[in-house]
Amino acid sequence: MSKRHLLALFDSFDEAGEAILELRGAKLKGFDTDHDMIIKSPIEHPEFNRVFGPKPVHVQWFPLFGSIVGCTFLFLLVSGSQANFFEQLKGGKPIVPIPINLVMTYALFMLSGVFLTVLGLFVCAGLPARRLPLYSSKVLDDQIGILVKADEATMPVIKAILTKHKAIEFQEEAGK
Amino acid sequence: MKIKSDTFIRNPKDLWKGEPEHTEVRDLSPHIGFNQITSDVVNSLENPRPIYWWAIAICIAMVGVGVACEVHQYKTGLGVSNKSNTNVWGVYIASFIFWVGVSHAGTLLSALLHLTHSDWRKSVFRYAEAMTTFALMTAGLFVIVHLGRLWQVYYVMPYPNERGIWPNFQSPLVWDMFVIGTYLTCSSIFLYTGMIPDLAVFRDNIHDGWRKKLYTFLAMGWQGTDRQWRNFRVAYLTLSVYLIILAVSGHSVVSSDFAMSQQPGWHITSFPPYFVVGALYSGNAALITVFIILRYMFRYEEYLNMDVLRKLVRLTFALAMIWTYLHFIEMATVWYGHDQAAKDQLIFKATGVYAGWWWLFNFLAVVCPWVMAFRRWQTNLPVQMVLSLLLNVGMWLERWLIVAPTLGHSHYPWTFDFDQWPSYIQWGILFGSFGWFGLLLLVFCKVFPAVSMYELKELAYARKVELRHAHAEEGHGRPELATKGAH
Amino acid sequence: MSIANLLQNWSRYRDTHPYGGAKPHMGYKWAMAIDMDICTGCNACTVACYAENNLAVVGKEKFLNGKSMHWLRIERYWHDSVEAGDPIELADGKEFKEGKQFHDQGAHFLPMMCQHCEAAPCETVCPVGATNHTQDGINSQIYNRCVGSRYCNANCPYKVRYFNWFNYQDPATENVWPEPLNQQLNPDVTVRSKGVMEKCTFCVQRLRAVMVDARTEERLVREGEVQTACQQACLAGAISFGNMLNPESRISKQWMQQEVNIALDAQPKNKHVGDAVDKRGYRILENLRPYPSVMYLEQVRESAV
Repeated sequence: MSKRHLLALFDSFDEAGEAILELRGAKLKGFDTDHDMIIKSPIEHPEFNRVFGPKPVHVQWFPLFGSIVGCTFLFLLVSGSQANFFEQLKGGKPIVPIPINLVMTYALFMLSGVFLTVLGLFVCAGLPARRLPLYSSKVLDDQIGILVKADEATMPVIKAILTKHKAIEFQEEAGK
Repeated sequence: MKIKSDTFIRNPKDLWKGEPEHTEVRDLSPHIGFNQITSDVVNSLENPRPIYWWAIAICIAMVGVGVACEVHQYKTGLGVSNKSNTNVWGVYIASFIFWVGVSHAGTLLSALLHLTHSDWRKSVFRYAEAMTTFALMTAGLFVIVHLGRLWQVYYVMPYPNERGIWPNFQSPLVWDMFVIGTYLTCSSIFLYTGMIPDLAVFRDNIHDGWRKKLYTFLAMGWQGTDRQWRNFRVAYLTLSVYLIILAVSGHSVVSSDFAMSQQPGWHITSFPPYFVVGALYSGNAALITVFIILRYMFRYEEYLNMDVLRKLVRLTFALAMIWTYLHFIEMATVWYGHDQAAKDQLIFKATGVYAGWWWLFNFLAVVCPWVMAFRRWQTNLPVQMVLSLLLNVGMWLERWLIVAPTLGHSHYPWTFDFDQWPSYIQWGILFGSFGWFGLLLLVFCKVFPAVSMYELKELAYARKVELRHAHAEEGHGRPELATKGAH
Repeated sequence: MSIANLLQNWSRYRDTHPYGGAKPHMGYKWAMAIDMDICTGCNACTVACYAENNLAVVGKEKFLNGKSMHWLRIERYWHDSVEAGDPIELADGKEFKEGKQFHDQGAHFLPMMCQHCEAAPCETVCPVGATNHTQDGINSQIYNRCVGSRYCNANCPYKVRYFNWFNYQDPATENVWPEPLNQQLNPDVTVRSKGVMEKCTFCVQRLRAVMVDARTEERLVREGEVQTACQQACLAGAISFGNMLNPESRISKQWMQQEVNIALDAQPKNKHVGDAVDKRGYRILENLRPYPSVMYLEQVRESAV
């Protein structure tokens, strides 16, 4: 059976939240709320996480990895290149001065951490993203969108639920 | 406080547990709705007040002056800046520290206040972050301008090269290169990452021309889905943490240029915190200046409002007082530490040829901020405009009076040299740097969202939640919908 | 591989010099001693330095503006003060005041050049490693590497580093060697371009020449085989220069005799002021711990005797 997309726009988080709850509660066949439903909103909405249930975020592991690798790399780079300095030593200082190298190690700790954070964001959030099948610019302005993917047969039920919770606008894919 | 709205949510225990995210909502008018924020910011790209174009013209003229001076200096040699073998540094290094200092306020507002959930920052942090990036770009110019052979500045870069040599990693200037480079890179990344949701709004609201292409490219297909927001929130938080430690380590390393040296008046242990707080202080003063300018120029009166200004002024005053404390501590450690050369240096500052400037700086940076303590002046725009400029004059003088007197009055009396007044070349390049900074900032504000739309919407949303909540407590039943604003 | 190299030679890399660990001096440690009792302040050494090292003569205006390039400068000090303005005004027919007309003990001259510190403050701060400590104990300056950040000068306690503020060799702008004068430039020494720092090198071009000769003959440089330009020009013989590691050299005998230890920041002889008649040796700003390689021998004043 072919799957179809439906985008419903809501005026407020409250109504969208209710609609999501009801969709979850309805346990429709061929419609998994965790995978077939995407919420779009103009602002960050930690409250919705409770509606969705916990969804893990893994971005924070990227900077951890990046910082450790960056630190190690820079310390070895700086110390290794200083090892060339035996013919051009600085009077009064060891050729490989550890506290001094830590200053730069710390800088790269942050630089590589920041790079990897952004990389993590791109990987985890799927950026740069392709435009989803149904899109309305209003979801970035002042409305909340719920994009559902479901069997054609289930679609009227879903639509009914969404309408009940005052969805103000629907977008549907052209029928196949 | 708890949200007691059981009229329309079936399982309040499961859903709306805990505290609302935002409780402080007085920083934005409650009458502003989501789409008004969108339309105001999008419109600000198109119709700034005419003074904007005058400002652009003035900035370009200032840059022209700076470039002309630099070209002359480049062709003739650094001697035209009227330094000497005793006074080898001068306005350039002082301005370098000054501009790095200006950059710090942006990080304070966008990163530190983000972590502490200080919501009043939401309307000002974007341009503050832009100031961070541009101030660092300006500061970087001064390092290059100050070099004798600036065409070989790449010698400082650590990369395996055909010369077979590495930079000297023991030098604080190389640490500067590392840390300022890192800071510039990271603050630009932070600025851009925080802007992605707003760029997507621009992409959707602007329908043709180069802007459409630019925003489409930069927005990276942001659609505000829950997955994007979820990861964005964590990534942004992580970036803020990195930015805070970067800002602190950044100016600490700049202070090591002096603290790591042996010269009297530079070799002071308390320099790193002194520099960092001084940076936050002068940066905040610069924020107030830009606040007032942008507010008028881009018609941001609703967002850059008096309530936010008051908080900004109070923050500046608090920083000014911390800085004042560290300033006196610095003098006290020199005085009671009884290192004779350093003590002579301090006496020289207060009584020697720089005395006039030194007392002026003390007046401007220590006494003047007390005006900010008075409530009636806190939101007086002309007063704050003049005051913030004066504070920055004072803080520039502070940096100059760290650099110049020590060089002229060092360990070796034979080489004392007090007659090196910087030539018009140095002043011209300093003047040009303000134009360069202003130009970058003005262009940025015209092309990118100078106030953050999505953060303001969060603020507006929090405001509505609180209102609804107040209504519910008064027994008015279901209030108006949260996201729909009156116009 | 550099990491393996790093681990193998770790202890060598952690040595500090001159007060810690193995000395890196390979057979040579060039040092100087200047006897200010003999110095007459005639400036011949300065002139010789200008001639030997292609120093730019910047002219009166730039000199007064602090842009002079004298690697070796004669500093003049007075032990006692004269009433300000007495004798100088006499030529203009001003009233001659009662009191001292001249300084009782005359002037005191101090030739000042780069002290070639063993722990030089300038070396650590150079961002590009243009100034280093060589194996023969000289504070070297590599012009090609210098980018002109001038941090070395800012951190030099003696301020003996000189910056090329202009392009002194460019005929178009600041030509300090107009036509036939350029023929007197020393071919062994480079003419520095604008934007680089320069300073006394202990006439490294002469040192290297004799060191190469000595090495081909498989020996060390002998005492008296090399002189710096200033030493050569000093008519009174106030400047002695040589290899401190050669126990026969005049310089090492002088340092030994004066009990000046290069690796100490305060000399023990300073503790016994009473018996200091013979021991006049001292180093300038020792307390900052740069461990300079130039020892000065105090002038014996009548008042002290």
